[in-house]
Amino acid sequence: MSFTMKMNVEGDTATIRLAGELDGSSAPDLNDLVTQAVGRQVGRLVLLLDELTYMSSAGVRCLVFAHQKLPRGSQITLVGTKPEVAETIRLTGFDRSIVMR
Amino acid sequence: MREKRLAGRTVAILMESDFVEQELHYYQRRFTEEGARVEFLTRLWGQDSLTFHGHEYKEPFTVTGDLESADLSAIDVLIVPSGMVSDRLRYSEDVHELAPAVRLLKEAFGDPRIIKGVICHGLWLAAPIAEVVKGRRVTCHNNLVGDVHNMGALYTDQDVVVDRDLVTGRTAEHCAAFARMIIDLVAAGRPAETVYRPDFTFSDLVAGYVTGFERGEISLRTNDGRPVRVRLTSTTSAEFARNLSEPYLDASAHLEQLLTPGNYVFVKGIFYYENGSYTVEAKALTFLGRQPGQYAFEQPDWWVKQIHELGRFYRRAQFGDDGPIDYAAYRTMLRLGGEKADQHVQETDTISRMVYGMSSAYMLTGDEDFLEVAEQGAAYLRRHMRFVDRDEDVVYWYHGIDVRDGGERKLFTSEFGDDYDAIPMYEQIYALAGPTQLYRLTGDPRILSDIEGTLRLFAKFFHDPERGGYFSHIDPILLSPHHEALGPNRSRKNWNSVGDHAPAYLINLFLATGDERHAAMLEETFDLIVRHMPRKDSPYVQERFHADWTPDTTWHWQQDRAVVGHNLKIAWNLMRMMSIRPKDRYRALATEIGEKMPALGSDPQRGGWYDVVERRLAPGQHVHRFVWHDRKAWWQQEQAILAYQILAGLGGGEEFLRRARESAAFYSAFFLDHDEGGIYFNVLADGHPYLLGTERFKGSHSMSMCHAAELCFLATVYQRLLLDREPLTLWFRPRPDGFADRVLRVAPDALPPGRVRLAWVELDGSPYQLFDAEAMTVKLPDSASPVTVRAHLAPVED
Repeated sequence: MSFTMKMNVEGDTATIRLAGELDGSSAPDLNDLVTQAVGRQVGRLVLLLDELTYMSSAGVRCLVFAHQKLPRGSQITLVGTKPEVAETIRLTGFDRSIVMR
Repeated sequence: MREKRLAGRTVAILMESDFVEQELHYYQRRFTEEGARVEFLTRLWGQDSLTFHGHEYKEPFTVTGDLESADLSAIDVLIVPSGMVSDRLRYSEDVHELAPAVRLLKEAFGDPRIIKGVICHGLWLAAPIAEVVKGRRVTCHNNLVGDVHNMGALYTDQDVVVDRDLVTGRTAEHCAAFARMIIDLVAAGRPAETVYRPDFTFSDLVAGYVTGFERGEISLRTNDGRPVRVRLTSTTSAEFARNLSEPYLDASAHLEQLLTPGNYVFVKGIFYYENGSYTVEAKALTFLGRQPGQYAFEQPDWWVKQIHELGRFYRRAQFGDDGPIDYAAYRTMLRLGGEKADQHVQETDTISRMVYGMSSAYMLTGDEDFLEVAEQGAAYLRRHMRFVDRDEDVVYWYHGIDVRDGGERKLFTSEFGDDYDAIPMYEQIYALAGPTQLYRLTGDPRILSDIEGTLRLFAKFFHDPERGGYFSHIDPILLSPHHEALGPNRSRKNWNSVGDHAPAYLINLFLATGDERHAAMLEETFDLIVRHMPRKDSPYVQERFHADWTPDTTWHWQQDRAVVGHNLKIAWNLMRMMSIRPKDRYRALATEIGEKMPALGSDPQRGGWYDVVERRLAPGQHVHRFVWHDRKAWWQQEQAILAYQILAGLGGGEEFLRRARESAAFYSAFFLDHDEGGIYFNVLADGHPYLLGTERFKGSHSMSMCHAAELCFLATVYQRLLLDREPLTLWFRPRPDGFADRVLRVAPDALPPGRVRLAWVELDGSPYQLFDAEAMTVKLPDSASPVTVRAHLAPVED
């Protein structure tokens, strides 16, 4: 299944919708996108993941790296995370740093 | 092409008939090839030019420069050559006036910037102005010796003599040495008169062996054999070196007994300049042992006590003296007294290093509190710092976390300038240091699984399968060493990424597992060190490389510079490798480094080891320059102590043993913080602690109970088992699920086969028989809970 992504920035919040399978080869594209959000120094990054069926570790790395680069106190929220994806994130310890709904 | 040392300079040579042809031609060529403009001057008597003839071959030589209109400000060197030139030029038609050439010479003597070169019969020209050479050291043709005495000069029986800005030569035969001296002086940029000679009062440290003590004056021989005499005063204090937590021990009542030949002593003194030389008066003496020839740090419990105190210091600083061990409270940055700074970062490597130190402290002392700190630290690393990558089946470690306001922000890439936005090999290596040392004690399978996962990371992403070795950095997204985002760290290898595996974790992992895969990886890294790091361009190793192993001399702070301690670390670890997979070239390089480093990295006057120096000498330099300062860092002292102990212990001889002692003496006298606890980061060259900026901290990235504890642990092992041939008891705490083969390996370090055996084993306080004395292994019983193992190691009698 192909991977699609779309970002919408409103005020202090960047919302990114990911769909399909985020494998290693699509990670650089996601990285470019979150780098844009980092460039705008948003305070909240919301990822809508209800249509994301797979997230590679490379994908998690993009998010972790983005979190390091965002302003102190900024929040990353994952919405609609499927159990498989949540397990990948849990193994990286990143679940301790974000809100998963 | 060779550098032209006289570029932009002017050499003026006086001329007349009866010159020595070969000499003049020599000056012409020699000064010109050094880039100087060579000008011939004479008295032209109003003519445009005059042609003179040589003494031997009557060779004609035309001169156009008039000395009567010469501009001395444009001249750097004025030469009065051999032959009858000087005699002819001192002719004056008016017997009451100085000849123009004499006037020129007199003016030149008035300017110390100008080097005056006078050779053979040249000093005749100074006869009418004898005051310019009165009291000065000169040489001249044998025929003129009486003349120069009459002029009041001090004749010196040498071919070439330098007296500040006056260079004299014996005869035309010596024109080459004469010219060479002039070139050296000009190239050095200063006539001898302006050479800086200290003549002020200062205080400094002398380290040395007593050679005599008479009428209040100590004669010393420094580490490099120079004699120094030091006077005692009515206010000279004396103490014995002491361990952490020990009180001040006065030695002043025992001076007669202690100041006996051969005893090693540190003298802090004041240097007074008087009567043309320095008088040194001692203000404080530090002796290394209670009896002459004794060294406190060679007592069996010195390092064991010290690691206990270090463990208590970090326990107290991080978690309180006896409160619960809660790593949420852990902070990387500790101030001098151990209090936490207003900073909320927990770095993976500082926790890992503390786990290393606490594990080592348990091994030596059996204090279970240290083990608890280590185990909780390893668990914390697992929960908070570990990234398990299922796609690649590898494990990597965050740089750290920021725990401000109770949140937990992952710091994925390094926060250090050297490694910014990258995953440096160095940090991944040191993330394993603590867990691996703890694994030796407990055999915790979770730790081994993470180590294996990290080794797969190294093999898969850092390793260079084509040209060997490990890259120093990978990018955080694609884990590639070649990503352009890495900037100056792209496609690079360095000392740490190749050489730090062995000391940080890999030797310990091999000791714990006996797994030949790890021996093979060690062999690969040591082969690369031996092959690529020693270079002909410098006596120090090369530390940075491009992918193809060509030197990288442009990187950030390193440029073309050497870290003294890295050279010593190579020597130390090559000698450890001699007990795993020995090779002649390992020993040869270790020995070579051990022999040459005292002259290249140690302080011969004060003892101790320096930090970072330029790998190469600039023209005219004889000493490798310090890059930032001449301070001495604690970890580099450690490298020296361990390197020379193991070199001495493995058959290297008395000279290496002496170096080990001198190094340990400096560390023991100056690095222990008797006021606050712990070890100082840096001391000044004279041993005073340097307590400014980050060097004031006790918990920074490499401080945190790593090197100081490693020193205590391995100095104990080397001193007792290799040097003193005395036994040593170690503590272990295997878990019920620890060590898949249920074999506990208790060799404390890579030791030469057959040198040490396991003499007895105690399990939970009772004698235990299932062990292999030669292999130093214990077959563990099935158990429901962890067992405490005491292993008594003893040297094998020859």
